[in-house]
Amino acid sequence: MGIRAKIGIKYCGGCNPAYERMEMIERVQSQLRDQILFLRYDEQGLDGLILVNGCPRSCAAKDLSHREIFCHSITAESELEILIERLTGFNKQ
Amino acid sequence: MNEVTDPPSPKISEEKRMKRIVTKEDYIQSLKDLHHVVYYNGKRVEDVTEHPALRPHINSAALTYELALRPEHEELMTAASHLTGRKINRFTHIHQSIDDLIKKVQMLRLIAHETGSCFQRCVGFDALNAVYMTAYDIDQKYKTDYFERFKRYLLHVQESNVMVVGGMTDPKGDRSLPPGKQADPDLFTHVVERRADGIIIRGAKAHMTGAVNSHEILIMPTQAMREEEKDYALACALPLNAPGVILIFGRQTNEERKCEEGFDAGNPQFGLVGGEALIIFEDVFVPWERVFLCGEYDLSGLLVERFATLHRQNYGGCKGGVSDVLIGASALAAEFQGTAGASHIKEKLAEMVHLAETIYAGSVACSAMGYKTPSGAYYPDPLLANTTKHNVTRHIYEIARLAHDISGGIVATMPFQGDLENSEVGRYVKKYLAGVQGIPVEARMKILRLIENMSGGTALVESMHGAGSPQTQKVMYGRLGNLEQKKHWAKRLVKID
Repeated sequence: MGIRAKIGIKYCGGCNPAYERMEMIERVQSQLRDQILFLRYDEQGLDGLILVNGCPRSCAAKDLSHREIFCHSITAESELEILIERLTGFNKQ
Repeated sequence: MNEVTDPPSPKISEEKRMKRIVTKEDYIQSLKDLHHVVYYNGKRVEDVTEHPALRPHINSAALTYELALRPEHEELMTAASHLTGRKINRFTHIHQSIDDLIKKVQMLRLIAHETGSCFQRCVGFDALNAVYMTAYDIDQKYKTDYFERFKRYLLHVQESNVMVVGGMTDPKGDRSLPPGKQADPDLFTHVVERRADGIIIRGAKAHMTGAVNSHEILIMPTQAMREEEKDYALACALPLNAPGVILIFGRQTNEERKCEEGFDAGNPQFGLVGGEALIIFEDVFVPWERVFLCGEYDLSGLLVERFATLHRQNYGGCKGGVSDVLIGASALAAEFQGTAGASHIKEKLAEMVHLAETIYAGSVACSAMGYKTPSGAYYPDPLLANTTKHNVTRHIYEIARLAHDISGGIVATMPFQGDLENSEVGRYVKKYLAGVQGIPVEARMKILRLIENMSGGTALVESMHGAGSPQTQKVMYGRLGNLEQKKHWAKRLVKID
């Protein structure tokens, strides 16, 4: 197993999410566990960030200081495949 | 009132440094350690955490601790203390911005999705904010030092993460008489003795949500007071295990079902509304350090109005969230019995969504239109907050009515869980309560019991009177509705003087 990319996860607060955010992220994690190390968003030395929002309002991006790293925001369950694709592609780089 | 100086001061256990409550387990252990005097149905409860009728309310309040530890909710459940900069539970936070006011409402909706019931901790949250901003104003007028005292108290609350119950509603006796004219002066909580080290208070607070599973109470006056009612103009904090404090838990609809610990309780894990109690103060000592209003009668009305506004702000959040669960349950009931495709069912579900989002919109609106008070704390728009709560007194009943309409009479006539499980009649219950093929009868019964739990009796009354009865909101319309300006606009339009 090679060096895994470090990806931070930042959630919105989840006031009224349109889907189960945690279930979606658990699916991503189980699928990419060998390639990516998933951490909290405020950890040091991250290679990228996933912003997990329950709706298009995208509150996870709020109060986030500007980071010069890969950042992917999701707002709906239908975006699962795109997220996995982007993370897989990101790791290959 | 007797004037006495320098008597021996009773020690109250608040002074023992509390370990910070972080987890659900910490919270439950802290309640076991409290040893406060609680009565349920005429019997003293030795350990509230082990009592089947109280445990669901404890589970519900415990979520306010548990969810704050989850990364997927910390954005709403936590805040940075303006006193220390440290991360704290939002229920101990003083609103520092419009964003804080909105996050409060979002947080309430989120927790209600998890509990389907009241989680109680907002009352103390609102009391902390109301006393904070009013203590500042009292100091400005009277050169007292309540604000600094209160900040020290707030620091204790934030650091220990205790659950505080806000205590406003006095029993009030004969409503046509003011506090000082009551046959029994204790029908309004008041100061009976001022001493060098503190005050002695007597009276009671009624309908106190979450009281038996809170650690402390923050008392406020129940209404505006006049000069002759100075002793009733009182705000102070004390631990609920202080000598002289007695809590009597209120009876709820179908509460005996909680003792069965099955699904007939409807929401076995989190119960029904908040678990209200009558709190009695039988000559309770409060040190000056915990007194934040004492005799400044002309500002008691402002404190009441602020607490009421902050509490009314909430109702579209928590009741909006609870309504989301009831709407979901109603949709499932329809699916389980094969009526989900009927146009009138779809229309009723749409109407329920409309009503729930209307009350939520009110809570968000009064938050968005909030403003900064002289203390620095932010405050929701009071007219909009009152309107929101007033809508709740109507819309929750209508949502419940539609839930009953969709579910059918079975909500009121369904056999016991025990019948379903009985070796003789269980097969008949399964046969004749069957709905759509493939749906277990137990699942259908559970959903119907949840609807029953959430839509009747105590749950509805709480929507009516919690945070103030509808008439109190109408009084605020009279004060804040600005009728003169409205008349002016009408006159200007038709060019009359």
